[in-house]
Amino acid sequence: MNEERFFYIKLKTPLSIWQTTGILSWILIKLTLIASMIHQSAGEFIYAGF
Amino acid sequence: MTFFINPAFWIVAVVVYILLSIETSHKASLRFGFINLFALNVLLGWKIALAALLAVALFWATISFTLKYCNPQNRNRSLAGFSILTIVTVLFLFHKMNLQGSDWIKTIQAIAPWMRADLFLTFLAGLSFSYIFVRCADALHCVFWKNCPLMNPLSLFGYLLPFHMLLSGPVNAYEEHLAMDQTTSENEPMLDRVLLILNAITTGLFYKFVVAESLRIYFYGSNSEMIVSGWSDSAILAVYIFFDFAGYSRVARGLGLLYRVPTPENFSAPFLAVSVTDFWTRWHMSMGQFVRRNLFTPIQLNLVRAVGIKNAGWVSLATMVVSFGFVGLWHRISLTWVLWGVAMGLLMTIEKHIQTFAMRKGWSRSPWVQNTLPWIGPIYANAVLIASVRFVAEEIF
Repeated sequence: MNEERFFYIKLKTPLSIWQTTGILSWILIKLTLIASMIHQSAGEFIYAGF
Repeated sequence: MTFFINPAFWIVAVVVYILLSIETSHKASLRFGFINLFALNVLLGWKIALAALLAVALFWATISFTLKYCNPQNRNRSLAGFSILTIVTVLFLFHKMNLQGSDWIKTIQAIAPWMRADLFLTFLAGLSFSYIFVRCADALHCVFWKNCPLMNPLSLFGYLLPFHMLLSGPVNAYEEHLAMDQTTSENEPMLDRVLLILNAITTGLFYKFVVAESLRIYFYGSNSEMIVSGWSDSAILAVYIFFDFAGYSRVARGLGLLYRVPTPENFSAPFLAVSVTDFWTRWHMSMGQFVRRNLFTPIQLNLVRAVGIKNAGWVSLATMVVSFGFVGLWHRISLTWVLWGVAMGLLMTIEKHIQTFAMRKGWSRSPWVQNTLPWIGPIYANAVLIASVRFVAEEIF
């Protein structure tokens, strides 16, 4: 839930092949779950048009 | 406005990234302003994009004309700043008063059909004018009272209506947007950076479309409204709002990082807050920072100067109530939301006095307080959150 840990990563050295594979896999898992849910979603955000 | 599940949005997002990657001699804010115009043109249509550009140009021309005749030492400069702010505030009130379809609008249409007041309200709602209003206020404060330079019209357009923050913020700061012309890109591995940002963007989408929507469908069904009839409903709604709003905010911030356009963070583990004061530094953070920059600090400084440091306690109470009263009204022009804001202001003032008292007595260093606060604090802060959601529930949607 804490955004900071995602964005304050300073990339001093390139990601290793394992890190890259891990992140890519996690992105794909999330995208699959999002795709399976998207047709059931209202699509609107609660503060849209605020 | 189903921005994030619209394939056109993501095609535009990629095109904007490619266009911004092309090196030119122009300032970063100007380039973003120009490309942002293209993005809004594709997403909202050329009529709305052009109308928005003309409105920003008018806002810019008014400020520019005023600054030309009022130097920083001129007392009329503050008056001019307040006058422009008043005009923007009237538009904001017009937008927030839910006038669509009201007798008032029908009367205006009957008297002056050429004004198309109904279309104007739709235009303001389509642009989420509440966020544009706070950006205008921040820009006016910086230019008129902090003597910051006025951006060119296209850069100002990019600041006031950034396409990736259009739907519901976050509230970006004028000074930070100005500073994007001075920042240079860091020597980070580019592909890895893009990968981490994509990870953050997909996490945002995951929050909204998997976590928040699963919660809604499980508790209320896929086509039912979220009605709050008890304390458990309030708690579910609070968690739903978090995953909805934090999900949206993370996508917007991820795109901002990708484009190197200042896009502030909005959430930082709010359910772990140990007090209400702490909660408001973790929930909708960009709005809290806006209130601190433009209301809390200036009002407190001016009031202390006027009534003296001896009355600092009363000043603090008044400032807190006014600041959160504004936050309440910003959500909706209603008595419920004003009372919500006043209650939050009072509660935070009480917390401040308790904290000062505990520090004087040395209780804050006690091991018992240090051990129990991390778990009693979140129970208290979340109980207040649930109670406040129940109080305003009928006026959230």
